[in-house]
Amino acid sequence: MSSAVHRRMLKEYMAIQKNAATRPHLELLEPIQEDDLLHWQAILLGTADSAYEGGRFKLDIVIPTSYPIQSPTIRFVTKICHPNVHFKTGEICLDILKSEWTPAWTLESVCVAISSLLTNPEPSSPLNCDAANLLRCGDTAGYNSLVKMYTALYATGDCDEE
Amino acid sequence: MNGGITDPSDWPIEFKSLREIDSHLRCPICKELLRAAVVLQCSHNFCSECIRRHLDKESSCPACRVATSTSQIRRNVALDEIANNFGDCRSLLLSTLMEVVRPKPVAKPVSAPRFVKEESMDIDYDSPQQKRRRTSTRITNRTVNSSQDHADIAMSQVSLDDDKDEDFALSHHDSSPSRHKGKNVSRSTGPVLRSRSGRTEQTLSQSSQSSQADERYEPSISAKQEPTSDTVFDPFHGSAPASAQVLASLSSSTDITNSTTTMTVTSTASVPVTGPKLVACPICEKGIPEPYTNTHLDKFCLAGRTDPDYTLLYSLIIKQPASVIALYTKQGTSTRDVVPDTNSSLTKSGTPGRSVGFNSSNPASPARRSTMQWQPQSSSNGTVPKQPMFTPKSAAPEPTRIPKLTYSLLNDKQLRKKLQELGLPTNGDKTLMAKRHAEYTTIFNANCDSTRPKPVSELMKAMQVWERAYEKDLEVKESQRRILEQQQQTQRQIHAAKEAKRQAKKDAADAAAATIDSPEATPPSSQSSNGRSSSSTFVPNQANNNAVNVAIASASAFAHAAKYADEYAELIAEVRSRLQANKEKALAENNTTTTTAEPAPSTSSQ
Repeated sequence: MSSAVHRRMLKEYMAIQKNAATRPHLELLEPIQEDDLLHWQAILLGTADSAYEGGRFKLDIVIPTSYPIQSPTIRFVTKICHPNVHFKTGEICLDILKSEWTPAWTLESVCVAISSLLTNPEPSSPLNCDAANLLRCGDTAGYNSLVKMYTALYATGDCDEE
Repeated sequence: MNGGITDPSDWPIEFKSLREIDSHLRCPICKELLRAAVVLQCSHNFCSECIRRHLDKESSCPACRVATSTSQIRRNVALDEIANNFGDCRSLLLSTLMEVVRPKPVAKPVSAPRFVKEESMDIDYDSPQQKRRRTSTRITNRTVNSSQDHADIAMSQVSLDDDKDEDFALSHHDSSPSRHKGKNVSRSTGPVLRSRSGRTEQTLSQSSQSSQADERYEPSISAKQEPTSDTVFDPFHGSAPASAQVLASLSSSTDITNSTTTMTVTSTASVPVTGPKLVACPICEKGIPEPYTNTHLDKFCLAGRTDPDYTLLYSLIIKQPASVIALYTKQGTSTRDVVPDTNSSLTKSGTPGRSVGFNSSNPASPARRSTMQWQPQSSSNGTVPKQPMFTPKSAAPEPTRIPKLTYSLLNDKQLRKKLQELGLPTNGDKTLMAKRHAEYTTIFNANCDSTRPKPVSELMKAMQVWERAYEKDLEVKESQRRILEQQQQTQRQIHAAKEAKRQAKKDAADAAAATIDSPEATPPSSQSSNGRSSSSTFVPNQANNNAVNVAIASASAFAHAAKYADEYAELIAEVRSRLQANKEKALAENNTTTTTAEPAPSTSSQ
């Protein structure tokens, strides 16, 4: 069972390396340690037209042994101000990571989904109420400046610092 | 599937449609080539095992999220066949393609068949021995071959069946005008040559191989006689040189097509032949084909060895439908001598495939080839993929699937009984038993969907692996839980210590406040001795806070409080002394002014 996970992870790893050029917003997606294919890390880049521009956001990915039947657990290591990300724990509220997960997804596609979540927040199911409230009140200017501030504060330097 | 990790992007970018084919033959869940392909109502295809596992958790199609259930799973036989055969020839096809495309991108494989042929031969016959063999006559083949090691000989014996194929090809070519071309095509397949000489060798060494050899020989002979209808071979061997060349252009796939044709032909022909009857060994009670009895007894049973791929528990066999037994006997007859090799080749260990990978020195490849060519006879994958299409007989008994159980409605005893019925271990608690049953149900039912089902023994092996993995998983979880508990405990301790410290500090602050109060209440004592005052003021505090029993914390608190008390005491003392001095001064002034006017200037001057 577990060997099936490893096969699939190996497959994904190779596929990721092969089409690295096709996804500009994913700087890195690899296992943290070579011998542990069940613990990955990724670095997302803030898209150019968004308030997250210039930020590098590190993700921590834990693969369960029943993957891909079960979804991976992903959280932000870098602090990020986003309506659907818990500011302190980095927990991500994304349906495809929870109820809407299907085994047809891959780590790569999930990372792309998270990347697009950054630019398309969903304030109706918030984990960060302050950011969501700004958006719900229509204060995009305030929201953007807040995001920019936090991005500059936490995400512009080295990703490894908490 | 083939041992290595494969991906649609393996195919060169020029062959985009091959990539497409590859990706469409893959299960979206495990990303492998489909194994036992099944289709859902929404017409999405998956591996049977993968989709069953998924539907155990969630009742929707992984691809489109349409609600579905296990009962809607239908076999997709054609797709499964395609995926299986694609998997069989994939590595070969890929390597052939790569050799053609990569080094000389100009050469299109189809446009220059001759060139391709040359190239592949150069590569295949790079060893001088082999080169010689190719150009020499059959006799030299034999000498070369006899100088090869035992493994090769064994191999050639197994690939006896190839012999017959070649014989047909040759006999046909003899009558055909395009003989040489046809020959070249078949020549490019090493095992054929090898097996040819192997055959001669075998006739020579038959005495040593005794009855066993005879017996093995027999089915191939019978098969040989059956497809004497040369017409069947016409399209593939020689008769049309053009087609031969086209086939040669993809020399590897020639072999494949070649083999598949032979296979289909022989399968149609050999349907009535069910092979020797199975009997129970009197000693080990295993099922063995009748003609094989003596060999089994002499070489394996009495010698204490097991010939696992050949024998089976007789009790298991008699429960099987006749077609399975027939298959099993067939498998035995052709794979006996190279049990391990054939086995590995049958699990498609994937000769990494040179263009004509069969020629490579890899001993597994000839065996693999032989099994491919003689699938109806030697496929130990269980049933013959093509057979259901040709024989209505074997298509009929589809094994019954294990029904799903609602484990919460069963008690331990019932569940244990269910496991016993399936021949599964019954140890462990109810959760383990339920999980075991669910796992077995999944893999068994998935196996039922396969066109190349595995024998039950292999499923049992898989279950053992699962059992070990489950135990390991439990251990890991347990250790993780313990670590977490420890962490929590240490955290709690740290928290408690912090709390105590905080409390102590607070007390110290209170104490300091108290010291400020106390000197005012008792001004003379503060002046007299600072140390005593602080300690005396702390006595009631200590009494109040019996809860704080951490000695270190209180000690530091004492020191802290004492320091502050000193400071305050000094301050207060200074203030007091100043006040006192002022008072005395004022008093003295008053005295002087009230008593005498004369000493007054003297005091003021002083």
